[in-house]
Amino acid sequence: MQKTQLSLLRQRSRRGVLVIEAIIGAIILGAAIAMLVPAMTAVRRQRMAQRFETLAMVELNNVEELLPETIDPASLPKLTGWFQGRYQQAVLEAELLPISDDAKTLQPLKLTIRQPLMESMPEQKVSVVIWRKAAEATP
Amino acid sequence: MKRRELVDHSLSKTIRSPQQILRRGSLFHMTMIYLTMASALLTLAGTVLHTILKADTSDRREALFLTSLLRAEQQLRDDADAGSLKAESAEVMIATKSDQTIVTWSIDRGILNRVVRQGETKTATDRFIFPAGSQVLFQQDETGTIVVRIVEPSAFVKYSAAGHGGSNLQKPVEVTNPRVNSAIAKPGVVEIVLRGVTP
Repeated sequence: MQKTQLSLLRQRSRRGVLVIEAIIGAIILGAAIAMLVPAMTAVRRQRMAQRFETLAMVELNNVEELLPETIDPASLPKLTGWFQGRYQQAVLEAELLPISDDAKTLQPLKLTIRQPLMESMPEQKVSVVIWRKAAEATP
Repeated sequence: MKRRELVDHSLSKTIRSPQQILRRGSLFHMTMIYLTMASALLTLAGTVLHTILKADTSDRREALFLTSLLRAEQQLRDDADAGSLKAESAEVMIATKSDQTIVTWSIDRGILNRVVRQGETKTATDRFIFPAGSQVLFQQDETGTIVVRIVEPSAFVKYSAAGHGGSNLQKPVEVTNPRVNSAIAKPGVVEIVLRGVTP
């Protein structure tokens, strides 16, 4: 009778183990979440960066389509509405590159879309070089 | 005496009878504490698993959109450069090349179909599948410029399970592409600008 009662008492004293188990479980889960949250944030940023690169490439091709055959340095291209609506801070930069001796009639133009800062991500930029007829020099 | 020793080592000041010691069960508030902790841990674990699985699905959808967009853009520009492009309607566009090849672009909900015909013979076909709920349409202005407008699906679109990609086409439009107040979820738009012939 005494042995049975003692074992019952021991069983009753094991109650605290459940709390310890729960705490250990919480610690393990906390560690998993602490690793998961930065990983998920990094994946999300990577996805946004990839999306920006793709859409910027499409937009650069759009700008190229809208450019006239002859480049006029006075009127450089602008971003179209849908892209400006998505990335309001994005800026289109156009830079006239020096004319090559091999192709004197063609004027290279470097178009760059620059996104300054997006959700604490570093600056992103996508560039393309297009060729158009060089404007004739005015006397 | 034995009974007395058995009871004395407990913290309780009252002397319990063996019947009381043998009592099974636990205190109500302890049970509630365990229950709360267990449910909190299970909820947390479930949330973590759900986040991982959802991220995988949304990555797949994003990759499908970007891949289809790039492929379609490249093909559209190739066709525009090789021949004269004209939008017949918001859903059909025709490119006529110099070698009498006719390229037909048509839209079937979120899918862009491209068919190349040489005379009566169909020489090539291609499909560009955008995620379910996407809307694609052709617009041509008076200057001949054609804009291929791709509206991304809203956040409320119900998707089919993985591996059942085509089954969304069997559902009504209001299910796959529900109307959403733009103040809640503004759909993203992508436009591809092409040079066409003056209509």
